[in-house]
Amino acid sequence: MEYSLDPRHKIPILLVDDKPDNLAVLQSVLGHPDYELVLAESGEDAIAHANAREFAAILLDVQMPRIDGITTAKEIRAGGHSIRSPIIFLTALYRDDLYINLGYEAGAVDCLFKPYDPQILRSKVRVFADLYATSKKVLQQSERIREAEQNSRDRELTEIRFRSLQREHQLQRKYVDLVNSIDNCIIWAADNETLKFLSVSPSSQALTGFKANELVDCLDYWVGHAPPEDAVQFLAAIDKARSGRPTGVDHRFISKSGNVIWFNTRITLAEQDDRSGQRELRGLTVDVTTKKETELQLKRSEEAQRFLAEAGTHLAASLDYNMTLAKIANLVVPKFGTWCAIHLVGDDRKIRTVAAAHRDPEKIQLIESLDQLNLFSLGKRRGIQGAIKTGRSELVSEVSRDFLLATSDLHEGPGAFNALEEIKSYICVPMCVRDRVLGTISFVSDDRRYQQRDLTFFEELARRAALAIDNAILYQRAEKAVHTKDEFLSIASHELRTPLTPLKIQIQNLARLVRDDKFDTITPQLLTKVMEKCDRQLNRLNSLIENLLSVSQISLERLKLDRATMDLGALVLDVVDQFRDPLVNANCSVVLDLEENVIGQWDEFKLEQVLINLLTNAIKYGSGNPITIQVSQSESGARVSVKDLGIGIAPLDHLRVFELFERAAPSQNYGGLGLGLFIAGNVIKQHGGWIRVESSIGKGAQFIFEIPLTNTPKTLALPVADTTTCVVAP
Amino acid sequence: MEKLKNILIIDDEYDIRETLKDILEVSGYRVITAAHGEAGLKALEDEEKPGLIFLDLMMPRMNGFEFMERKDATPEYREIPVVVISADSAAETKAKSMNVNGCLKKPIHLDSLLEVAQKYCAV
Repeated sequence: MEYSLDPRHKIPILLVDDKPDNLAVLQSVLGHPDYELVLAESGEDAIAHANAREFAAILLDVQMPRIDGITTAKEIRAGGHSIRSPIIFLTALYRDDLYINLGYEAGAVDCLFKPYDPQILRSKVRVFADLYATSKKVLQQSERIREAEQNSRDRELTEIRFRSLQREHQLQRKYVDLVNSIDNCIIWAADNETLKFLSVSPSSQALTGFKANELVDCLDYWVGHAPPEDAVQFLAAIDKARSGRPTGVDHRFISKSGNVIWFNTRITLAEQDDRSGQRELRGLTVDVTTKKETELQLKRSEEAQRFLAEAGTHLAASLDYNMTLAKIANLVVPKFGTWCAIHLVGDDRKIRTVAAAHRDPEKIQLIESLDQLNLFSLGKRRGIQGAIKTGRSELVSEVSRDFLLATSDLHEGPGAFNALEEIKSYICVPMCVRDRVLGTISFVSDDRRYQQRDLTFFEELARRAALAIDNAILYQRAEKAVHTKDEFLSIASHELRTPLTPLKIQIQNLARLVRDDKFDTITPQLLTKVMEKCDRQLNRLNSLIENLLSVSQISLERLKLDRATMDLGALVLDVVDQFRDPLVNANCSVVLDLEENVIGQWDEFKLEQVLINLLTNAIKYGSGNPITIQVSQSESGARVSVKDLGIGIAPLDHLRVFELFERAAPSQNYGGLGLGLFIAGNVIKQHGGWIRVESSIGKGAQFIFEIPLTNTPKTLALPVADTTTCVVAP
Repeated sequence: MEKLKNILIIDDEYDIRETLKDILEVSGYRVITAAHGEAGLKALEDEEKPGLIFLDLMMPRMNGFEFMERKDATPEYREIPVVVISADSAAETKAKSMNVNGCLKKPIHLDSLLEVAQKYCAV
């Protein structure tokens, strides 16, 4: 044997003969370690073996009882494992051609005749055995090749699978890295049914304050931290996404620290998972706070512009600024605050509430009552007083309880303090115009925190309000000036006409007497009387004109003194002498208390004017009563007092009577231009002295002035006195 | 109606009172003067009833308007004619709003004064 594939596998050869002796002979002839000789003593036996396994060769006796060799061969060829095994017929009897043909037809490959040569038999069997072994070897080799091929394919497949897994892993790692590295959005997945989080990107901690691992299994993270109206929108978006339509929604979120964040979330429903069969909701939630704030800011700024335009219309509509300010306060509330209070500084420097508005109209009284607590004033250095003093605005974004207690005249207590609970944020802006603070506008909010941009807006509003107030004040002043001028012209003409009446009638009377040839009636006595009367009227007219001229000089700041040495007592005597007749006519006696030699360097003409004005007033308002005039030396120079027992001047008017065109007495009863005391005040001031009045209603009036004896650069200081009876000159 | 001889002058200006008085007396009238409304009312009470009152408007203590109210409130004085004498620029307008018989704006023309006196009083 040249080869042995496997020593365990021998080459099977089937020997068929009905005679055991014959089988024994065959066995002995063909016995070889390479062969496995299988014996069959009948056709049936042979067929069973042949069907059960493949034989390298079948040696078949032709003549057998029941089933002969020919039939057996046909059966073997009909099916079974040995269908293609070569069959060698062994025969003795039928050595004729018919049998040989029959054998070949039945599938035999050879025929041997008994008695046969053992050598030939061995050789023939060997050929078939070798053929079988070779075919088996070929089969085995091809099997091996196939196996090898199969192995190599499997290895390749495994490698490909491994690489793809690796790639998948890399992709997944990249995805996880990506998810982990993002910081301005949150990537999440949630159960479609329960809305429980399945995964949340770690960025959630930085953005919302909630850790990702806290959130897995969390049910209403987005909805639970959103304002109600946003929660509704978010749930609507979820429903839409569940129905398969990817949806985006803007929603607010209250972070762990309480800040409001604007998010935009895009929600999609994922494909069904092959393994779990679940469909999850996936979300990409982006922080859009900055964008939203910009939008909001833009909206606010547009709103602010619209508001300022509206406010401007109101401010320009009327010159009654108290009414206008009330309108502004009502425009501000509730859009820009819970309260708004407007304060103005009066002419007396007192601060008054001129307008107030509260979101809840019933609480408007509260604002004024809280004013008394000097809210935020910190001993008048801050708050409304502070803004008025410094002209600077104040912004307190977050007003705390402690801050209120520290800056107001407020004590911890249930009543007053509860009312202040609503003060969460506060702004006070001054209304400034031409370096003057007219007042303030205060804004208080219980829900929003005022920012720098609110301050800027309110400052603009205050600036416009200040301009409107200033315009109104200027207009009122201009109107008052026009009115004063008209009134002055009317009074001036009255004052000028009054002395003209006796003058004109005296002259017309003389003219009539001449015309009627009644010269005899024009006696020297009459003429003297007429001339005296006329002279008095001319003096009055002259005095009026002097006063008008002086006023003009004072307004143009051209009041110049022509100083010369003079005796003040002598001047008083002279003036009283000029007024002898008017004093008698007014039934006024004069008490003179004149110190001698009160001599100084003064403008005699102007001091005479002062004395005339004082004496005229004393006669006018104190007719029927004595007048006292005193002249004395004083520590600082000369002192003059003119005292009447007339109607008197109310303390409130003590300052005013020295102002231009001002009079304390009713114009229905008393004439006068309102110039006399104004001129007196200015002349005395020019001399470096002071003038004041002591008086009250019904108690007469005493005008006192003091002037230095000579021209000194220093002005005399007015002595401090009771303010109810004595007031400073201009 | 018989004209009366008396004329009452109410004016706070001494020189005006005296000048008018002189002129009217020379013309034959009897003249009483008062320095303000209050004195005017007293003169009505104390003196013989006048046929005419010359009344200034702006006066201390009681002005012309107040005097008219008081005069008209007393039935026996109501019929006494009053002519306003005033230096007020709006004297005529003011006089029209009052229950008076006329107005002479200061400075008064002598002829007008005598005409008015002649109209209401007998010499």
